[in-house]
Amino acid sequence: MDRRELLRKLMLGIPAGVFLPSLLSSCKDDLVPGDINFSGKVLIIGAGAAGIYAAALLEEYGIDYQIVEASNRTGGRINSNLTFSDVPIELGAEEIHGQRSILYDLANHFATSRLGKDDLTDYFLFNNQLRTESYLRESAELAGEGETLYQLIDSLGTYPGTNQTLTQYLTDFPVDSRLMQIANALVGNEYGADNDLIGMVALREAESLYSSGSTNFKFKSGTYWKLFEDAFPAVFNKVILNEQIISIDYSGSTVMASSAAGGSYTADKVLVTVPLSILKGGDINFTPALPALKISSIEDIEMGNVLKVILKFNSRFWAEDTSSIIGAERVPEYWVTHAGKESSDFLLTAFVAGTKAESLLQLEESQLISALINELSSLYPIGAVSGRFTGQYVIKDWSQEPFIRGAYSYPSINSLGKRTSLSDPVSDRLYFAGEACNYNGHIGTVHGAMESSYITIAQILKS
Amino acid sequence: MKKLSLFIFILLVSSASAQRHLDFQAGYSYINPTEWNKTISAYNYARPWLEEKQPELHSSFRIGVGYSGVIGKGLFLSPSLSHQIFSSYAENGNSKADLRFRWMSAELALDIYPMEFGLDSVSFKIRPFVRIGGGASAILPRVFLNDSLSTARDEEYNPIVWTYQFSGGIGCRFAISNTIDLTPMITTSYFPSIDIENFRYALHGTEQPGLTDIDKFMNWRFTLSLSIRLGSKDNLTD
Repeated sequence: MDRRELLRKLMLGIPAGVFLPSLLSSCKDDLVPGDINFSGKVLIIGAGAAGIYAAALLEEYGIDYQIVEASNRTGGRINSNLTFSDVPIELGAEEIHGQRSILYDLANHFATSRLGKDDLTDYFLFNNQLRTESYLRESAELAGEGETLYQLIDSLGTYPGTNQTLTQYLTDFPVDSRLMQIANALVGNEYGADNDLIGMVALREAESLYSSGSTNFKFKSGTYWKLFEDAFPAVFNKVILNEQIISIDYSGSTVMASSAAGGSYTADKVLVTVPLSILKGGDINFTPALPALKISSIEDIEMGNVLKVILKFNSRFWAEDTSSIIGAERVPEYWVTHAGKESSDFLLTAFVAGTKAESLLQLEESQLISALINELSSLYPIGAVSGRFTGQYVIKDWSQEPFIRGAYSYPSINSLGKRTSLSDPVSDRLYFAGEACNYNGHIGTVHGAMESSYITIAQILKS
Repeated sequence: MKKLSLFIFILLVSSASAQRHLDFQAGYSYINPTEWNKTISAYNYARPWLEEKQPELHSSFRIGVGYSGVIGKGLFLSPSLSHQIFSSYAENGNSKADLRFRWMSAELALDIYPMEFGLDSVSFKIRPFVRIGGGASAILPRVFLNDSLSTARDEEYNPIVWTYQFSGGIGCRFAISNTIDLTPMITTSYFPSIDIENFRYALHGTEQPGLTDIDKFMNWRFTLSLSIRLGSKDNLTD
């Protein structure tokens, strides 16, 4: 072989040998849109965060869609009171949980100047005294029990035991009984339930998958839902209000949906984003009936209620740096409603979930308010609270919203793995999204609802 | 330690011969990390409000320094160090996302000069060679969102990822004087497994079916080296 021939062979042979494998490795099946296969029409049921965001994704890809909403407004479980205070009061979702999520990125893009970090101090009720977290962790009075509780909560994502309720786990551990109300406020109440209702293996799954971060953000001005209105204005033009879908027939090659008002809608695919409670209640009749696995998922994932009561005072009696007052008997968490907002009002929100909410809702309205004022009075010096209460309040009981009937889903005792099957499409025509369908640990959050939508829309686009 | 001693010994042996080069390399580098780019695609897809989509990671300018010393007739041992940064930047109003994957590699290669088998000295002005080798790399993947280091699961995302690679390529030394060579090279390194753990959380914020932080790919490089012949007394011929 002469030198020229060797050079020629090197120039031809080696590049061909190394380029070819990389050219051949390209296609993989997953839920990241690449080539879009779908070009039909999608009917979206529900105009909350999941529905509106799903529509925005379809809009981006030029897919035809229609949104129908049962109530007379968009937003679902995001809703504001605009008259009670000089700033909007969020009656539903109030915070952005964590800094690494599509919701935070959305807010950072469209509402940077409105975003405020919740970095004030939480006070915990312990032995009738309001204490800081560092006190609970370090105080000799607790002899390390407070630190143990925090470590236990931090390690819920690696819980090694069998399925039981969170209360059973904490009792058997044992956690100091004086800290049980605080434990309930930090976990059960946060999940829209209470520790008696939380199942440990489902909680482990949720906690281990949660990845958005622990810093919470609020809107300093304007409403939460304004974010979606500003971000996706085109989508709102395609919302039909007051159309409660009561039946979906997906037996044919297209899907037929009918409303209580007699409306009829045809689409190639239907995306159902209604709250879990609506599916549980059988408000929508599916033809053919949903698969058994889907039905058992709907039954086994539980959705709790949340009661929010916003109380107006004429001046502040809580410490200026207060974010929340945590661990009271009746109300697991009170928070300073206007903290970080551009407001001159003095407001406290009582946030009560699960059986405690049900218990309070047994009372007459005046009794309920008295119960809260009395509880707050027991935490502060005599006369500090009642003398400042203006008598003005707002009560939001989410169970009374006819098309929502609750707050959000929680990791109930039999719900392990059920969210995946809840979110699975049926017959490639019927799709589901919403916070209850989130299997990434972001259940009960707005960004969790959005995540479930984009996974579902990816499935539709690739179908 | 034994391996290091052997390596130094080989370098000393090669230094004793007439054939040694010091190479200063610069060039273009290309990767196609399909799994990491899938995370970028998911990030883009989930954020339809981004007018300027986040570009995929593909290209980098690459610089390096190497040494090449003869260890046998037509055989050279060539250690080298290189540096490259694969980046991806997009700005959308208030939102800035800046991905910078700094990449530092140490490689040891065997250069085979087919023309020079059986010859005691090298006297060609044009000397093609084939390179095979491998090495280790340290990768520092960074995600800056609005000029701040991103977090993944509540912790700053600033890992140092160690990996290894197998390399091969072809090049040709063109002697432009008795002491200076110009050496264009096409090389590729195969990275069989790189786990930049939690990248999907740092950029996209969440888990999603089809996303993984583990990738394997080829790194293609076109490099031009300016080589200084150390102690050469050869009379070069065509």
